[in-house]
Amino acid sequence: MIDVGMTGLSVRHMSLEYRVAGRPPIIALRDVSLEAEAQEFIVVLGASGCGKTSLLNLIAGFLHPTSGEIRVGGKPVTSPGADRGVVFQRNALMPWLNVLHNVELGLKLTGVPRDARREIARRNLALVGLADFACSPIYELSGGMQQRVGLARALTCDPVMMLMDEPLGALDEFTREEMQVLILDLWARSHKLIFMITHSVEEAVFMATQLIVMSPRPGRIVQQFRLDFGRTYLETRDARAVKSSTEFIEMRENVLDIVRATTR
Amino acid sequence: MMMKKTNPFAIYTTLFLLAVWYLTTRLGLINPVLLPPPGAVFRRFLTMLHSEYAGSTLFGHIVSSVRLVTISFLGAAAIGVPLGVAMEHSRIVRGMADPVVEFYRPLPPLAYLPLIIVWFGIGFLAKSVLIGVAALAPIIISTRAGVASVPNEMKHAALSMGARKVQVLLHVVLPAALPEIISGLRIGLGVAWSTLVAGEMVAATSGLGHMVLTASNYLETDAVVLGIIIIGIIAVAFELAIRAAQRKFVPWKGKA
Repeated sequence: MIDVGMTGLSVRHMSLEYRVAGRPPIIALRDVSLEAEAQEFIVVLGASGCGKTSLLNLIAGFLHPTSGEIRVGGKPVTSPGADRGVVFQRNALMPWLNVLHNVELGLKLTGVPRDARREIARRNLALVGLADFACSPIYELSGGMQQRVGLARALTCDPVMMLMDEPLGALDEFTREEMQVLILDLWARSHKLIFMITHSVEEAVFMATQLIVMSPRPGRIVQQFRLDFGRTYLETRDARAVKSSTEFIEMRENVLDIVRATTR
Repeated sequence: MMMKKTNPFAIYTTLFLLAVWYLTTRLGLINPVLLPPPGAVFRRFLTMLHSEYAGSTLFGHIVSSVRLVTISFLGAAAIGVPLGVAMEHSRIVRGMADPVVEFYRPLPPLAYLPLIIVWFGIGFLAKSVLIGVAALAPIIISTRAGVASVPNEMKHAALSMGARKVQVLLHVVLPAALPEIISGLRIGLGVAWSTLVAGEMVAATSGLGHMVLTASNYLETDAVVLGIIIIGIIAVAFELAIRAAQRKFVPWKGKA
């Protein structure tokens, strides 16, 4: 086992059960353990009902485990906190605030003075390519641009890790490929640990350094892979070449077989 | 709220009804006591601009009624919005307030008017309690619906940016619920205004409701019709004011 020490993510023997009086408990997650160092890109893949969103909600602190322990940067997780930035699939931006005010909201709430937080927010907007949209209302942006705002916002409190719950799930195919590359660049530049959920096998294999395949009923981890297609992309800057290479296709089919087997 | 061009059929219908009103009364098809001609109503309007009728000039009646309804409505809003929020946040508050609100909500205000007179007398307080209580229910119900419909993602996003619970309430829940809160205020203001006549049945000395009731006692239907028209015009003005507030404060409504 790797020693993730003070910088990474450590989930140990974690289970989550829902108890309803008069019925057998529903086991959402059973004995999930995973370790990741800082600057890793974890992708969790699995059919619906495999507990991947529950796992993210537990790490974010929105849910509490029935048993087991989660540590982020060495500290046990007990509640939501600014050390874990979260990007949601939809519905999470504040439509009454413009782009800049959305991105700086976290800093405003934690009492960072106006000029300082504006500067950080503008820098993060530039990172996601939205420097010119600071004053636009959220509802005038396309879905892809809204997700970029979500990314910039999650970066703004300078978290130890970023949690992404199917951030590209609601986007069309072209926007999705563009955003995959943007997130990889953001990851390389910000040196953050990323924990991302997806149901796209290709996306998972392309982006992950650590790919976790989960299976439903009860939700559990069935397989883990160490991959480096994302790093290859960052060196070559050619996503199509990476995704059409023989190794990539073999791995993709391999993972697809495993995911299919879990739903039978 | 979309800005729409006025539907031409709305204008045609209005003109048609005015024409029917004018012709039936002009040709003597209807007894002027049952329906006074437009000219008589207009003459009543002109006289009432400067001379008193039922205790006050027309302007005095309007001021009196608008003041009564505005104060009652603001009181209902000041109680209803916080109570609605509290009912969604606390099981105890919900348990205590829900049966009361759900029970009295469908009651016609005239049914509990006698009780309000017994409890609060016949002054301004009784009238504003009657109108305020009627306006309160839709405000509470819409506020609750607005608070309940705030997406969890928004609240979670704020918490994972380091927000405290009270900040989530002030910076996320209230603004996110604002469209529905304003809808509730809109319905509440409408209810308050339509309860006006009932409120002014209680020993009033001025007000549009009082004016209509007095006129009907003396069968002066021109004053009755004038009062109805003025009550209707003010209701439309209230409605337009709230729609303008909606466009100003929740421009994202229906777009997010």
